[in-house]
Amino acid sequence: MTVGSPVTDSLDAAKKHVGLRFVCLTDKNTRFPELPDFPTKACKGGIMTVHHFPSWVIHLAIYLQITN
Amino acid sequence: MKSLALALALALAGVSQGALRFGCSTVSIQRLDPLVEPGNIPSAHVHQIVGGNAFNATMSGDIGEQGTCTTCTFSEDFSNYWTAVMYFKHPNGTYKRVPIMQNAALPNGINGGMTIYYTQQDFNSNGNQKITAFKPVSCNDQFGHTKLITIGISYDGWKSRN
Repeated sequence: MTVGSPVTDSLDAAKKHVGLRFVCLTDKNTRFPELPDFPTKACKGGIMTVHHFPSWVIHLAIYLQITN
Repeated sequence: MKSLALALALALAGVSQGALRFGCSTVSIQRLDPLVEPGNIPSAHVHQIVGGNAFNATMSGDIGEQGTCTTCTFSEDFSNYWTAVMYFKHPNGTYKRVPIMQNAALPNGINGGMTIYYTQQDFNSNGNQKITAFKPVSCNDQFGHTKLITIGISYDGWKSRN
């Protein structure tokens, strides 16, 4: 089971991958909005990627932080 | 007592909610993807992998029977979950792998991993399909191959902002 595609290279295409979204974290509790694109500004709490698999199965969240 | 138990069961049936959340730390970072590119060593790109120790370039059968330990907090399940790794492109052209931080909402010691949610539809509705945990599922990969895996997750993000 997969989400997204490695050959996606445009915002319009990214929007169609509804299972893959990014959240710009103000702090660890930030959950919205879910963006189809990377945030365009620095995110104080890091960037969370959310992968929505078919809802009865799973979604998973991954927290990314650029450390410098 | 029996009737009380039945009444309670009936009451619960109307409001049942199924959801599971747990943290997993990194088990490995490798160019392997047994779901999208089974057998390819290396796969086309790097993945961060969490979960059981049966992860391999090729995976088949019931992974739960093959693993003996896991980096996830529920030791009863040896599923693997993996994602593409994100890189920062430096202005000088070099790439640096972006580290993954701990989910601060989960217990200490879960470093650089993922938070896995199993839900029916969302946390507060009963959903429209039954949830089945920890059983092998038949999975169609993107090439239409059907295979039996515990639950393997592969994610490929889109390349980058241009």
